[in-house]
Amino acid sequence: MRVLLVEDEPHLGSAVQEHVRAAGHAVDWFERLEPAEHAVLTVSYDALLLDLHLPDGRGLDFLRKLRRRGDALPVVILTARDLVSDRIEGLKAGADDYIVKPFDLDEVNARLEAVSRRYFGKSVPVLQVGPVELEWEAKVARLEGRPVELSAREWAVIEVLGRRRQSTVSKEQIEDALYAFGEEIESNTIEVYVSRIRRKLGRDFIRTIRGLGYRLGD
Amino acid sequence: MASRSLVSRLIWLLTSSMAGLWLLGSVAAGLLTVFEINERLDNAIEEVAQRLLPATYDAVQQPQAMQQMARQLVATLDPKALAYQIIGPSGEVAMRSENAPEKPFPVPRQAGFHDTPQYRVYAQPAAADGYFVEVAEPAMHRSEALGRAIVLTVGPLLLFLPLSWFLIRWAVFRGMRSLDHLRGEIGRRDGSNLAQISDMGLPTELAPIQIAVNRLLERLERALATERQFAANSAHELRTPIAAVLAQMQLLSAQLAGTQHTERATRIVNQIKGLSSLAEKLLQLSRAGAGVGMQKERVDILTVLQVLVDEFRRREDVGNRLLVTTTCSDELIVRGELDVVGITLRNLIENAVRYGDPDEPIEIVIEHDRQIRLLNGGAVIPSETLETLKKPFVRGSSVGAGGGLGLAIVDSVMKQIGGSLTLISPVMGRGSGFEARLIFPE
Repeated sequence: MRVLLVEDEPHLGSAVQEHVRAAGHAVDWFERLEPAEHAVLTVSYDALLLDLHLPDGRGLDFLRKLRRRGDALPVVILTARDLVSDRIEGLKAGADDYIVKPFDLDEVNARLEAVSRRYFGKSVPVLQVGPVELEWEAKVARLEGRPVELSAREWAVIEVLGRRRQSTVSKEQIEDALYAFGEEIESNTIEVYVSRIRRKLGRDFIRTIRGLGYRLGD
Repeated sequence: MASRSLVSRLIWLLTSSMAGLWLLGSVAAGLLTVFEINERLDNAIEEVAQRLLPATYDAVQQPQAMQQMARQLVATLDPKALAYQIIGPSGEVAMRSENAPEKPFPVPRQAGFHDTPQYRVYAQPAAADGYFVEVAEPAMHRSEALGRAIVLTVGPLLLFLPLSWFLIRWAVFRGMRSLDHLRGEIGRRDGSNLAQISDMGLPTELAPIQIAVNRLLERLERALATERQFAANSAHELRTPIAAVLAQMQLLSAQLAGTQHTERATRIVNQIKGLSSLAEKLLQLSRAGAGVGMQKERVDILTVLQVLVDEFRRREDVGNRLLVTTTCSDELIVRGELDVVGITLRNLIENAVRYGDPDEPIEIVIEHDRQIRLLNGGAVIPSETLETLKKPFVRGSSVGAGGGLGLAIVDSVMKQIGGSLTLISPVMGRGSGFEARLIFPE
């Protein structure tokens, strides 16, 4: 999952970025709205973590602008304002969830994944792909009933493919979802992850559509 | 000391002052009347004596004829009241009216008025040497006349006294009506109503009070707005750095997992969380105090509850444990401020999550009679502890990281909006648990 984080407090921003990244997601972090607006127009994000008080404007105005454009990007607000009226205003502006500072970093990941599930039709808690069973919430994969250990990145690749279950996902799309701006990516990184996953879950779990990309098996 | 009402004090002062004045007036009028009547009656006696004087000589010469004339004279003036004697040089009664005693009046033979127990006597030396004319008025007649005069003068005043008490009372109540209105308007100003007092056409003595009260209300409203702004800004200014410290510490704690520093790192994380919770509660307390009375909007408690329940259900430690049942219609309206109502309900739910049994449900029951009951599981809380829970910094249990301010905040807000918070344990009909019951005013 590729996440856009807009937070002007550097220590908080860096901690959230690091923690979300450790869960296998790519995080682009901006301290101001202007570069975030550019980023959201150029990159296909899976979720937005948005602070409300930013040096160059209000997060809610940015959110309203997104929604007016018809952008359905899942948005979780990170704010110091905990009043019911603030929450109602945020939800009215189009936020999907609302986390009040200070928060547990694990809570951020949990909420991100919850909104992501709501958006990408993963409301079915368990997905069966041939002999492989994927339990999204617990991040558990089983091959013929036996749990298989996957790294955060490997799970992230599976999530990208699972989110677009019915379509083929290009290598660039997977890279976009997994790596933030400025992160070093080897040309064969995605192939390496696909190969590792196939080794663990079976060759047919991920199918290669030559010249187009990958999709989950079946 | 019990204070007396201004109205009764005014009525008492005015009535007693007026009664005093009337009493003085009556005494003066009575004295004047007595003086005037005495003077008139004395004049009348003198006049009779003067008329009898020329006849004294004839009386000596022709006693029978003059006796008849004198009788007629006295009869003309006041035959019933006055009596006369003509006293000879040796003190014998030479002539007398029929109502006069046969013996001479027991007064000295000197010109002027003399009083005896029965008569007031006027003696006048006659033209004939050694003769005196003495005209007497019965004392009883004079005292009756004086009595009648005093009754006629003072009596009406006494009759008018109760009437004037009613008039004074009416006038005072009428005059105090403006003050009553002003008092009523000021009395309606409290924590939940700081609206300016509108122009009531007050008299010049009271108008400055209204202006002064309005100025005071304006200053109070500004002070509360500042406090509210401060609380809102402080929330942002405090929470963000605390969030940064907590997040960095959580990362460090994760990195130290499995080392000898793990426990210390976890302890610091928990302390930051405790500090954060305390700061939040203090801000809420300030926010609740400043917020009440600032706005009087229609707040639907069910909408606020819906937002809060949705928020709490997303928490891992709550989830579907939070149950809501309602016997109420589709809205429950109170007059107040949305966020203050939110703070109140949030604190109650947080309290139930923090101190309730984690394996038992938290129930929110919305009753049709403007009551909200929040029930959670847990051991019975002794009644002496229940009574202290509404005080700040008192915790219901050593378990949980609460600051002991939640129920104090709820209690403070409910009192200010005219409602109430009741704490019950065990829950009625059960052997355990805790119930917080909110009753909202109409």
